Amino acid sequence: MTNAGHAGFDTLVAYWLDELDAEAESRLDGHLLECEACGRALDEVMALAAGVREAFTRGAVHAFVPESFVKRLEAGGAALRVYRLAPGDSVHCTILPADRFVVSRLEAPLAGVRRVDATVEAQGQERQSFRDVPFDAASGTVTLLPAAEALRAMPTHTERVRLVAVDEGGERELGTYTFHHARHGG
Amino acid sequence: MDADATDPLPAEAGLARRIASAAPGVDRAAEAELCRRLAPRIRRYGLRHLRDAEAAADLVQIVLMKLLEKLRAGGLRDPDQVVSFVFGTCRLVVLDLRRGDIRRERLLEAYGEDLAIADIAPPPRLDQARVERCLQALPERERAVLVLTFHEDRDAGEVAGQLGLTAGNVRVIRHRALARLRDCVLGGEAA
Repeated sequence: MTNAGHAGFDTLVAYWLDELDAEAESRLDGHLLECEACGRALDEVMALAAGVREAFTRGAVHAFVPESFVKRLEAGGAALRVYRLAPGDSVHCTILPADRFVVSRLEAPLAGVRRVDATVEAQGQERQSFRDVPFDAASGTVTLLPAAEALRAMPTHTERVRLVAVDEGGERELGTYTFHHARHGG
Repeated sequence: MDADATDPLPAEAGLARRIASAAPGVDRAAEAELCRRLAPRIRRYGLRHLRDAEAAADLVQIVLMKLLEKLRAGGLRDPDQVVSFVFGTCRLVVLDLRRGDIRRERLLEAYGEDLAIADIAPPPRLDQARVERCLQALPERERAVLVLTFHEDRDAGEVAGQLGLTAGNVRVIRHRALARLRDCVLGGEAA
């Protein structure tokens, strides 16, 4: 609670995510039934949470995620199209109407790596760069879920993803991965 | 929390007294106003503890009907305690709903037209296109933490386990990410 007696934004986030201990949760439960200002602030937390959920679920944003998260999506019944590439590999790929997510699983030598950056190039030009992406050193994979919505709209084209390890000594290439994307139905 | 935020609710208590004193008649206006004030708060409790919009709507209906029955029957000795009564009832009804002991169909049969008084405005929604632009503009690690957190409402410990970070680290990243997202979505900052 803040000095004014209202719950702070972080406390409300923790409350929503079931992170408070039982006593603090019960106190806040009671407070929220009395305090409309805190209730409206909780509405904001819930609306942001719902917005993030909806954005991801409908494929409006991309995300680098751990393998365990992909497994959860799969266990939840999401239709996944999975491409697994080793450094230097290329793949013919697409997204079909029934696919919920496309999973690009990029293998890389990640032991001892502290930071990974990624760039996407198309027709020899850098289109996007991603700094400090999450990766799984144990399994040696960087897993990207591209924004399915944007992927569906893309024309048939080829793009290259390049992963680099970054440390005090500079950059070291981990691998390049080539995607020959074919637009479904076109 | 200080007294400013926890003072008894004069409006709710006053409405509760009006309803109690109208018996054996019914003060429809006071009932509707009391329901209008309490319904969003009960819905929030339901969403937090039941994680389901339909179940939360059921909770609103059930708790309000129990409250009105109690007030009409003069069963609430101190109307100033109306919010305490609502809190206690919310807890019990959530347990019942989790066990499946209460069915919406039975409720509708039992209360019929009275339930209409608990109709409330839908919960607020953000401009989704803006949320998406702002979310896409976040640094990769921050977006990943928000997606992992809110896709299934997972706590910091669970997200930390998935990302190989500490829970404290996830809380810091989550805090920063939500602050940026909130500023961008609500503050009008172009994403």
